[in-house]
Amino acid sequence: MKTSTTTAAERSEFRSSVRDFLSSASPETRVREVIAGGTGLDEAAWKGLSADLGITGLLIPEEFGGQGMGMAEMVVALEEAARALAVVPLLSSGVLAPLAIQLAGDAQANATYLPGLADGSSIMTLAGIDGGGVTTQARDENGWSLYGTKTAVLNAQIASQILVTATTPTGTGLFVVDAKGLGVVITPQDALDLTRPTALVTLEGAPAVRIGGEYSEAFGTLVSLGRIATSAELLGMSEKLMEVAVDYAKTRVQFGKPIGAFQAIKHRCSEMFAHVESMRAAVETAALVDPSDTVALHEQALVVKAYCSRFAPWIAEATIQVHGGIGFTWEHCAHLYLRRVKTDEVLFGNALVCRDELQQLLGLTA
Amino acid sequence: MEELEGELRIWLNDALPAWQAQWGADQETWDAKCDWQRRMADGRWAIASWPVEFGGRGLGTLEVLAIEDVVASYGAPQIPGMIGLKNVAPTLMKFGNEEQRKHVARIGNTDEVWCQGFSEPGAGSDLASLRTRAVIDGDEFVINGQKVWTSNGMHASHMQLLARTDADAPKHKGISAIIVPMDTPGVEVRPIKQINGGAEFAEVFFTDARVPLANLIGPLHDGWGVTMTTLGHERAGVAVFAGRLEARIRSLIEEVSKSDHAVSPVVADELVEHYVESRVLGSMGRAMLAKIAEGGTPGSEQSVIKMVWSELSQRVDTTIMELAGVAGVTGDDNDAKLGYLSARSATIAAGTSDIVKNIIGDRVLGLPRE
Repeated sequence: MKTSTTTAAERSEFRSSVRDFLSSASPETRVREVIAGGTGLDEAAWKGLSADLGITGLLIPEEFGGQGMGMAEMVVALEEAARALAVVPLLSSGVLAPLAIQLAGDAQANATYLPGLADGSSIMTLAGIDGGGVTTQARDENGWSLYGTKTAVLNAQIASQILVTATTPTGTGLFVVDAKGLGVVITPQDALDLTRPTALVTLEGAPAVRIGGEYSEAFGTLVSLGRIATSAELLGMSEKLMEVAVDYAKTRVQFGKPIGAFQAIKHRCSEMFAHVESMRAAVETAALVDPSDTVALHEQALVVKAYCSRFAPWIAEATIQVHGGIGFTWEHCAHLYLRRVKTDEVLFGNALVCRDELQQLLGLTA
Repeated sequence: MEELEGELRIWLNDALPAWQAQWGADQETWDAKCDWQRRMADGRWAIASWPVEFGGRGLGTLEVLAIEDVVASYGAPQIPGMIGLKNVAPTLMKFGNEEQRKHVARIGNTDEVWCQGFSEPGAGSDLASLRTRAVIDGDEFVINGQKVWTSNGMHASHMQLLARTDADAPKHKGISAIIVPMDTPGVEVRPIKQINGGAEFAEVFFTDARVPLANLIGPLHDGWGVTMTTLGHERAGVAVFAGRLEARIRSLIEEVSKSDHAVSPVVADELVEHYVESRVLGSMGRAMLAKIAEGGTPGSEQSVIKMVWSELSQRVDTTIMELAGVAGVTGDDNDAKLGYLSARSATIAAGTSDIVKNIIGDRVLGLPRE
C-alpha cells in the first residue's frame, strides 16, 4: 500500500465525484428503504462504488485489479460513504479485508482474494474481536480448524468469506473460512447501527485456510489502520451532522427569531465546527503516515481515534439537543447517525482504550 | 529556508553571548531587552518581514515564523517593541506619508517604543463602539477620553490612537488613526496591575490633549480600515502557538514520567487528554502553514486554532496547578501559581473565546446575528 499518490486537489475532485454519486444513489429515503428491507446491503450503491467508481480497489495493487492507492485516498471515500449512511460493506470488504490479507504477506492469498475484492464481486469481512470470553483457537487437524466465537462481525450475513484471527499453538494467525461453510454459525445481532448489521460468528471446528505466517505484528498495523478508517467515518458523519444542526438553527424560529441567533445554540454550533476542523486535520495527518513506519502509525492512529471517538459522539448528541423534540423522533436522521457514530466509536477501541494505550506509550504508566 | 536558518544560527552564536555578557544579572530589565531588539534589528532579524527599502529582508510569513522559532529555541529574550515592529510599522509603511514613515527606522532600533490605543472601558470585544474623541480645532486634533489595556503603555514614546472624529457616522466609519507622542500635555498613563502581579498594560487618559492634524494616518474617518488591514499580519502566528503548545505538553509529560513519584492513572489520563488535543491542534497548525506555503490565505482556521489553543493552554496550566497540590497555594511552587494566574488571560486576550465563538457562528457558519 502506498502513502499517497495523489495531490490534495485530486482528492478534492475525487470527493466531489463520490459525493455526487452517493447523493443520488443513497439519499436518506433510500437508506431507510434498505434498512426496512432487512438485507443489510444496498446492491445498487455497492455496485456503483465498487465496479463503477473502483473504490473497493483503492487499497489493492494494480496487478490484482485495484488502483494501487493508499489511506489518503480511502479516507475520502470512507468519509463520504458514512456521510451518506450508505448501506454497503465498504469498511469490512473495501478496507479491512484487503488490508488484512496484504499485511499477511502471502502471495498466493493476494492472487486468490484481492481481484474479487477489488471489483466488489466478492464480499469479505473481518472477525477480529473475540466474543463471550472465549479466545478463538486454531487447531491443526489435517488442515486448520477454528474453534471459538467472534462478536461484532460487520456485514457477516452478506459475506462470502470471513477472515478470522485466532491463536495457534505458536502464536497468532490469520485464517479464512467460508461464511456458509461447515462449522460456521452466523447469528445476527440486534445492533445499534441500523446501516451496518453485525453478527455473532460461532466457529465449531470450521475448516480454515491459513494466510501467511505469524500475524501478531501485522494485526497491530491492521488495528492502527482500522482506527484511521473508523475515524474517517466519524469525521464524515460529524461534518454532516454539523451542517444539519446549523441549517436547523437558521430556520427554526422561537421567541421571534431563528434559534441560531441565541448564543447557547450558536456557541454549540461553533464548537461543533471547531471539532470537525480538528478531526479533519487529525484524519488527514494520520492517513498520510507511511504505514511501514509502524511506530509513527501506531501513535498517530491512537491520537486520531482518541480524538474522534470522544468528539464525534458529542457532535451527534449536540445535534439532537439543538433540534429539541424533533431530534428525538425516529423520522429525523439524527439517530441514524448517532447509532453509526457510537458503533465506530468502539470499533478498534474507544477514547478510553486509546488514551490508556497512549499512557503506556508515553511512559506515564507501566 | 535552511540557508537562512544557518545564517541566523551563526549570528545567534555570537550575538546572544555578547548580549548576555553585557547585561549579566540585569537581563530581565527593559533596557536590556531594548538592547537585544537593537541587535536583532541591526542583524535584520527583528525586521525580517519589512521590505528591503525599509531595511528589512522582505521575507514572507513562513520564513519569519521559522526565524522566530529558531530565536526562541536559543532562549533569547522577548522583543519588547513587538507592537511597533509587527503592527505600527507596517501600518505606517502602507498608509503613512513621507514624514510619518521616518518613524519606521526608529521603531526598529527602539529609539521609539509604540503602543496602540484601541480598547476602552466601554469598548473591548466591541472595539468599534469606542468613544474617545478627537475634535478638529484649527490645525490640531483635541483629544478627550480614556484607553485601557494598552500594552507597553508605561514604556511607550508614541501611540497609534483610534479616536472618533465623526460622532454622527455609523460606528465603523467615524474613526481615525492618529499619532500621539506620549509626552503630549494632557496625556496621563497609569499602570494596570494584573492578577499575576505584573503590569504589562496601562490605562491612558486624555484631557484636551492637542496634536497636529498632520499626525493623521491615512484618510480622515477611515482609521478602522487603516488598522484592520495590518492586524491581519499577526494572524498566522496562531499556527506557531499551536506547535509550541504541542511541544510544551510533550515536555511536560516527559518531565512527569521521569519524576520519582508514581503517576496516578487519573493524572495520567488528564495529561493524555491534553496530549491528544495538542497533537490534533498541531496538525491544524501545520495544515494552516502548508496552506500559506502554497500561496493560500487562511480563513476560518485561525479562529478555530485561536479558540482551541487558548482553551487548551489554559487547561494545561490548570493541570500543572493541580499537580503542584498544596505547594501551588503556599507559593512553594511559584511557577505553577503564576502560570495558573497568567493563564486566565489566554481566553480573554486578542478576542475572548466567547466572542471567537460568535465570530465562527456568524461569519463561518452564517448563523443569524443576535
